[in-house]
Amino acid sequence: MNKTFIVIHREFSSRVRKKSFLFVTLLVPLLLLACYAIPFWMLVRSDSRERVFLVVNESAIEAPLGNLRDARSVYVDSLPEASRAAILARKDYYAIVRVPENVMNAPEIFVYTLSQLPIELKEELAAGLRMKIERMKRDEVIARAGLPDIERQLEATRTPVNVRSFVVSGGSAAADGVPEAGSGREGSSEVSFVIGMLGAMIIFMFIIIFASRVMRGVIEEKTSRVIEVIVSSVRPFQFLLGKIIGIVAVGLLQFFIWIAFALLLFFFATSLLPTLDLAGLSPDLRQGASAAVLDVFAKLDPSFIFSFIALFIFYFLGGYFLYGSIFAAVGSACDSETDSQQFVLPFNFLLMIAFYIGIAAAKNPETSLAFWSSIIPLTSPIVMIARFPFGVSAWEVALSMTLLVVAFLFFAWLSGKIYRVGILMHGKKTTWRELYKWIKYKG
Amino acid sequence: MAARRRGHASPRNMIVLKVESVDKTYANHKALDNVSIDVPEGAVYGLLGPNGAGKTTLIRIITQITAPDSGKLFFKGKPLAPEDVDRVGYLPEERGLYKKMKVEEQALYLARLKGMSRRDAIARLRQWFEKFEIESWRDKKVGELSKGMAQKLQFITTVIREPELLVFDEPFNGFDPVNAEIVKREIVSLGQKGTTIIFSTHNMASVEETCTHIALINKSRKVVEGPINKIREEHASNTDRLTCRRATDFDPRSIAGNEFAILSERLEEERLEIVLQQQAPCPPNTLLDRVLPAAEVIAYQKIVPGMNEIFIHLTRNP
Repeated sequence: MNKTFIVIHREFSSRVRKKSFLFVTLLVPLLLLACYAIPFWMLVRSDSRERVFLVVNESAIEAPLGNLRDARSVYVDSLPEASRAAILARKDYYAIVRVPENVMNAPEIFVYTLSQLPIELKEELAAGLRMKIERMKRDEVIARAGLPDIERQLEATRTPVNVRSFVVSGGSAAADGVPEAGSGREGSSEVSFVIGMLGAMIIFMFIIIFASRVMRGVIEEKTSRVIEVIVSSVRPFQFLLGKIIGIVAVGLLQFFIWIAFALLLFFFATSLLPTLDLAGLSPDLRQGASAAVLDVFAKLDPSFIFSFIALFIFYFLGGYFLYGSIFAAVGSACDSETDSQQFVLPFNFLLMIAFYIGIAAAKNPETSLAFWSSIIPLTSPIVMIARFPFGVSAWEVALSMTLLVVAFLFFAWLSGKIYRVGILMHGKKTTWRELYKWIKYKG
Repeated sequence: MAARRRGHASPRNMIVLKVESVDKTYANHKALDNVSIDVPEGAVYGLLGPNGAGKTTLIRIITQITAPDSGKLFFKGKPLAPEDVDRVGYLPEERGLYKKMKVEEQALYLARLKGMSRRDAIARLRQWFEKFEIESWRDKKVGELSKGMAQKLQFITTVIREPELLVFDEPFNGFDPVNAEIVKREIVSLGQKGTTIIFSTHNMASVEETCTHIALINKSRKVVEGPINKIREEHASNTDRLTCRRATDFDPRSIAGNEFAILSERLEEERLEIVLQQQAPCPPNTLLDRVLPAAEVIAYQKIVPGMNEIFIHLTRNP
């Protein structure tokens, strides 16, 4: 066992000390952050510059441009044409807008600026005026028809429907027969969907990335021939175990750094948010957003959060160990990464399928496909995590977990056999049939 | 250390490694067929045989990289156990190290995998680096070393643990003549310190220079095994070469008698060279006893065949 620790230490430290580790660890969150921050920043930034329009209103319409999002309007009745350039040159006004007298019949306005008018503003001006004119025309129609209240009546016909779903806790409620409204936990399918899908996605990505890393490590040791010396010192199984653990430790470290990073950012943001004047968001909207966030947390039972995290870690590690040992065997049978394609393909394919089933299961967790693939070990790590937030009975989880452990032990044993033979085979291309023969060799 | 400096003349030649009727079959061919060998303590044991004879397979079984299909192995009298890997050093034929690891780190890793403590490994490593004059490499990456340098490093990682049994698979392959000589010297010196060494080779010259014992494996079977001198004697053709100063009254037939046949007779200036083959048993020195009174002897030599000839002879007609 001591030797396994030496191997873990090498696999871990040699990877963590690489420059690429630092690079990826720092760069990925920065990139993600940039993906969200840049559009947001742009949104906030556009507010920072206030534009003032000088509107020459020759029409009868009062304040014809309405409320503009990005600009303020100052109305005058007339302006000599000659003074336009001089006024703009003083930079007090961004643009001069002339609304002609018969704008109701010939909807056309004229904008004078020093530089080309941005499309956004152009659209905004058009929309503002259009709404104003449409409203006036509609009011006229309503007045002529003699139905002064029609607008309010029509408005009253709008009927938003709220579906409140409840998850009834198994035994007691079922015994009662009719669950009372408000008993049980109020569920949110949307929250379950997001959690399930995110979990499935993370597990899928981590398995693919880290199992391939195991494979690459094995191929590297085989092609550099260092493996023969190593297996004369450590039992192959011990060595492989150390390798698999060492590699996942790197991934977990990275993962925890990211989580810490995210938490830090979260606290930083929440402490900063109230002081931030988000001009674009109305106070109502802001309150609504924070209420929605609170609601999400309210709908998550703490015991659910705990069991989800526990299960996530279990399936993450279980899936990784399962695929890691398979990929290690594949690596041992290959002389180069390109050779490995034929063996890896079916498993990558399986993972992809599991991922798509997982997404489907996060939308509808009750199909028999979702059920079976959350039980069968090679797909269960991804699909079960996608299903779990919707409530999965304990026996299903227990069965799925047991099968995963059994499958891991079986594949570890099988892979160990292939690995022992494979690492010493050079030169010829391995076939599936040969792999089968290797399994039968006495190791 | 002192206890181990026994040299190969240890009093009771204890068997360090005993291989008993080992079989190993791969998919389509039998790699080893009922092979047994005994490696005495302190021996430098040459494992000879043509390519594909099964040497590497036997070595991998000894180093516990693969298991035999049947048969047993004993290390110092006890069945070979998984823990014994720490007491056996191994240099494979195809050598290689982690290219991206630094020299010292790499050597420490392999030494620790063999069960050495970090501190011991560092101290020993320093000695070996000094010995091979490679201290300046310590922080280089293995990938930056030349092939010969990397081989030296690998040799060091094999012997650093000072294991009781060292196994080298074709140790001279891949070394340039200078480095091969260094390695050969180290092997001999390790042997003199009492380490038991097994190495496979088809370089017969190196066998004659270094081995105390050999086993010849051909077509998956052991053909012959034993102390090298004994094997050479067994394959001696019982011929002697006698060189003496020419004398008019000396007749080679008079010393040959019935027991020896004269194979050749050559006169070169004042020297007469006679090759005789013993035909019938007679006491040792018979020939010398007869020739000494009759002629002035310049040289007398028992003709012993080289390992090369024995090797070729045995692999052709076992």
